[in-house]
Amino acid sequence: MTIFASYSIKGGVGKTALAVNLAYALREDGHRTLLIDLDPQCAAAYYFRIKPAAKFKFKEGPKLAGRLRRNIRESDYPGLDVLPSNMAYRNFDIMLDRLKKSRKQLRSILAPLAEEYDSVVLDCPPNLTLLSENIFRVADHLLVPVIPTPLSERTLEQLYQFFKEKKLPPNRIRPFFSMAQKSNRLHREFMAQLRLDYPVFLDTVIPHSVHIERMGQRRRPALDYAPGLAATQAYRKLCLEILKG
Amino acid sequence: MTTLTTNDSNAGSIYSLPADLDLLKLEERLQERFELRRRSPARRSLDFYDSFEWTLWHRGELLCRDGSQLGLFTRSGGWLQDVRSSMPYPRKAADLRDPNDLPSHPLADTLQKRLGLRGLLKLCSFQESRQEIELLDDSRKVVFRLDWIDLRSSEGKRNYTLCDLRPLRGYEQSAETALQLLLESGLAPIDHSPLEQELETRGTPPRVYSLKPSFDLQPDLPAREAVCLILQRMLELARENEVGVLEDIDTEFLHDYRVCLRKMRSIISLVKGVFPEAQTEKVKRTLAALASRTNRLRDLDVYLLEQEKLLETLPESLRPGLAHMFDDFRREREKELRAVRRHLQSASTAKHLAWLEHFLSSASTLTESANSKAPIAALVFARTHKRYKRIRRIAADMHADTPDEEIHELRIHCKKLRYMLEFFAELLPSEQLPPRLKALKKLQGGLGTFNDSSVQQISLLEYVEKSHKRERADQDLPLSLSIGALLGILYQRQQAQRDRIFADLAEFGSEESAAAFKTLFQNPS
Repeated sequence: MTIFASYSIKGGVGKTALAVNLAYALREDGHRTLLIDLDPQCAAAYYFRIKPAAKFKFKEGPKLAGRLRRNIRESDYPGLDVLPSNMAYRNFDIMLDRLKKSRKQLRSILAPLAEEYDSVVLDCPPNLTLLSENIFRVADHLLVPVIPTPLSERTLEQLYQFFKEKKLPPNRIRPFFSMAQKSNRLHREFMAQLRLDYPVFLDTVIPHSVHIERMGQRRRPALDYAPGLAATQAYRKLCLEILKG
Repeated sequence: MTTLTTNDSNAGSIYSLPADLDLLKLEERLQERFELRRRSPARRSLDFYDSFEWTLWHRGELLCRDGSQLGLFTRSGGWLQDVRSSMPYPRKAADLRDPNDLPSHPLADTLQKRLGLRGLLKLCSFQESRQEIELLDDSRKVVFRLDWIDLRSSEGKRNYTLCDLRPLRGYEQSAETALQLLLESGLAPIDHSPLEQELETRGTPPRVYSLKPSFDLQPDLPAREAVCLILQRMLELARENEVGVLEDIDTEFLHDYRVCLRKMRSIISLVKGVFPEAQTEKVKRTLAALASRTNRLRDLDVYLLEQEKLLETLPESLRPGLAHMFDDFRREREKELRAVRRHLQSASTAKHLAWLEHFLSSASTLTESANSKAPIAALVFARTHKRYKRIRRIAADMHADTPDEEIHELRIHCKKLRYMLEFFAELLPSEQLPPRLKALKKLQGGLGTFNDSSVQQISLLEYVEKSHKRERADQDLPLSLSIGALLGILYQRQQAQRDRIFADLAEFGSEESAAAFKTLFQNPS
């Protein structure tokens, strides 16, 4: 089971759009895929017309795994399931903090899913907390959308700094350009500069597109309702680029 | 989305429909509680495959080709459930037969592992039209799926209608509501799927195939009746394999055909005096006549099946020489197969078979013979026990210098003992037989390898001789080198078996084993 996390310290950068379309692309590639919505805003599940998970109290490791499992919903696309988020996830960190090995709990929660799924995609909340650290430890690929602006560079720098402090393997971080505008000269220049500073940037660029923005109205992955567009195809390309390693 | 994909987590299940229910009426009913969405209808052809032994069926699986895909499914209610694995299989590609011919794919590996030496047969085909209906909740999220399926069998053009209900994980409540409406409309779980119905109509329902069938023997059954029962069943089994030999589906058909005939000959020789002498001889001659034309074809099958293993024993440089030999074998096999086909379809084979069948069904009218009325259990137990004691005596006399011929003889005795134990297994105590058979099989394993290595050496030498006569000087040297090397290996392999055989023999002939055999034959069930 391969774990992909869509993560950014900053919100509004195309993180959920990536999680939703990446999960869809993985399923198209034949992976039994589970999308886990860890963001209390519940946007990922909303895009699949799936209602927030029933409320439940957070308990420790194995029990929690069973509860989460019961909340898994099959999407309209066979082979792609969704674990919807819950407002109670705000308390995830408090719970983790109470547990032993609080930095590695997520691993034991996800482990039993390996029999059912080839790929798990995590849509992560935009902050830097104990839950984030758990995610960093468990994700095989930490996909970080970066809008080509100076502010994004700073948050990327912060992420690498955090990895260094916590002695986490930095090669798990896979930044890529998100919501990029070809016609915007600043974007172009900034992308060129960032690629020089961070050669690890993925080749694929997700462009800014109104078609992707429409996901909120359509409530379906953009790859489903507009499969032929360059903007949505970019998600498929990104997926293959990561899978190729 | 490929048509063969279903979700692993949800067990689909098929339901039959009442005759007066049509799709519109069904939709009307469901609309009481759900918004519906019709997907565009899909048509495809379905071809079902399995081996002659129903290997996949008995594992709870179905192999199905839907035109562009080949898929291995779990079977539920005699129909397709979840796909285990699938691979592209072009519409135009030839019928599936040998899983080894499939392109490299995990599914191909799975099939090869499951089927071993067995090939695939097409069971039957359907034309399917499928109308998928989605049931939606108030967010227009799919919460349940229903497929209305019309099937038309390709042979016989019979029609079947069914519904495939596909709940979605996490929407159990909706599934329950939908199912309630459907049951009220008259849907009922199918206990006999269209596939099972179709196979039954065609007279080829799934069954258990075994070369060791049960004969329903009673211990006091007169020996002639018992032997006739066994012979009749074995002859039927042999004949079931004819089609597979003629169509050359896999090498197991000929193997099994020959085993059946050989076992028949064995039992007549082993249970002596159940028919008048002249009749016994005629049955033996007839069986020999049926089998003999197939000897060479079976030999060639064995060589060709061993090809990879034999090549691997040689260094790379010596392999091409041997490859020529296998090419020769393949050509010869074609020729032999044609000859065996002619033989099986010949008037003389038909005459032999007709005579045997007539003889077996009318044997009760023949004059009595020495053992014809003897109770079968007592008769064969005494003889079989004697056979064991004989093997034990031979074993006691064996030593490091025992010539190969004596080991060969021992092998034959063991084979006869095995046949008797298997034929009359149902008369022997069911807890005591398995450990004796296990010990015998172990001994036979070593003897078998010993014999195979020895036979292979002889045939390799024969092949060299023949090929020298054909004067193919350019190939002679590499061939001789390869065969020389192989002979050495085979000789080593054969000699290495001796130690193993002696060790197994010591165990098989021990006081303990002898006592166990004695009780085995004293306590007929």
